[in-house]
Amino acid sequence: MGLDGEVTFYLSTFKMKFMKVYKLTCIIKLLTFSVLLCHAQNRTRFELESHINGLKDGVKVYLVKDKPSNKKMLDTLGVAISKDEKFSFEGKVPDDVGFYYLQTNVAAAMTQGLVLLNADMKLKGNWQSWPQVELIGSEPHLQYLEILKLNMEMNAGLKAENADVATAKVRKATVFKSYINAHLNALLTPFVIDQLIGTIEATELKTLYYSLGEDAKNGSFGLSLGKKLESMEKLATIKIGSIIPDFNLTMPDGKMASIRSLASKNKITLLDFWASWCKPCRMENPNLTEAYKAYHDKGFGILGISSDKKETAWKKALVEDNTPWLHGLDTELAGQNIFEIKAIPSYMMIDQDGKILALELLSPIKGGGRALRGKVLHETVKKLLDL
Amino acid sequence: MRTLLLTLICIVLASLAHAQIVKPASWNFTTKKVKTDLYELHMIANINEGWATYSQWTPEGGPEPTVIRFDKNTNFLLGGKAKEVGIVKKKHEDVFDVDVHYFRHQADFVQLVKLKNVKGDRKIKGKINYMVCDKSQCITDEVEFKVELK
Repeated sequence: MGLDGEVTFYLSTFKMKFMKVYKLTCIIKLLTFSVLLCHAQNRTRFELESHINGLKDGVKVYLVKDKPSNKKMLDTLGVAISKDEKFSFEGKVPDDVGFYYLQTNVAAAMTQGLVLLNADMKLKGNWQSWPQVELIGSEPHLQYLEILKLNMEMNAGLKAENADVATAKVRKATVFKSYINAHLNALLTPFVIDQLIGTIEATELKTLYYSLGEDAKNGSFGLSLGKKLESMEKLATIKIGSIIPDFNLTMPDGKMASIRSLASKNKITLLDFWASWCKPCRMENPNLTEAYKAYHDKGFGILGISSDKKETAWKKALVEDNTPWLHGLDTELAGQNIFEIKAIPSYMMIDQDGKILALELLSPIKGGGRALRGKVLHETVKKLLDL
Repeated sequence: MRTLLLTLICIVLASLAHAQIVKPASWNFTTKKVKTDLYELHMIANINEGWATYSQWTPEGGPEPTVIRFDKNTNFLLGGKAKEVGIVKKKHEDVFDVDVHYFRHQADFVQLVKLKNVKGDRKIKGKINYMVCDKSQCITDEVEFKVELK
């Protein structure tokens, strides 16, 4: 921001005055700026020089990505050892920008999120006030601080008004949307849009995403938001009451069969997305067998959809588990792709017309669950069959 | 009510910093110089608590082994398959009736790479297919890497 302002200033001065001295200063400034700019754009590595007043020698400092939910370090970008109140990191920030945290081996507290990019950055602070630190040289970090401040002020306002949840939701949408629209080109703005998922409608989220400037949209936060919105859109069509798209399976005899036609033979069919190498899938088979035996004559069927790559491994598991229902192989993962299934086992109950009645899809967005396992499966089957 | 509401809002923003898609494992790639023309490529899987990833040599019939593939490059000589550093746990799984070889927390796959020409190409590329499981689910994933040996 500072650099931008400076250049605009010199440019206008240049145009207005057109005096030799200014011209020279301007050219020098412009040259310096272009060098800096080129330098900044071509940087593929970062440096973070840190100075923490009062920091003892020999303290181990970790630069980690993602705030771990447990004590383990995830994606450690670097480890440094302090000397003369200083420590430094260098390396490459994957995807050019991201949130990182500093932790030491002598204090439990971690710093707040630091938005690092492949550039030269500096970190300042006092050991007495650790983990409060100041990061210099990262434009998106300044934006992050701005967003935190905005959120804090919003929270304070809501608290003062003693606002209810509905009011808070509306306020959040208003405050964030106006922020987004005023910062369409900033790298971190897609992340603010991300915050509105669940607060505003999908169509509105998309409109905000499309109104982003090219840099923001193609930055790493923009790209991950784009992917998330795309997969949300896909998932929105997969819900209780909607009809599933059809796809084919290779049956044990080598013939192809469509899942809709296979499911049409029962009143309700459980689609079981599994594979021979998946222990939690196989562990559930005794329960599925029990349910199948109890309710098959009442109209309950199961269709095993395996993502095994090796046909022999699949057939071996079929023999071992001796499951009485139909099985098909989905080597190309057509089913997993349609339903955005990222983990198995995943389950989906459909009726004879392919309408979804119940779901347990394990995808990063939907999250895990045990919606159709164990006793819950038996209860669901009984309820759906009016037993 | 008020406390509840504020907690709610604060949680949303606290997660702003790390609200990205849940991944039970993440990978780091680093290199270490052994000699002028010999390098170690460390492919490190950091595995979340409760999850496991599997050895390249876990026996057939159980979970899928980790598979590391390198793109062809005439400047490199690879010293066999990657070594596995870290605690390889072995457990007999009745479901599969095999001994499963797996890692928790961290697995370091170390590939020795010899440069034919020290002035030549140093970018080593490839991909890793691996799976991670916890008690209730399994995920298969692929990670691509491009690392400069230095």
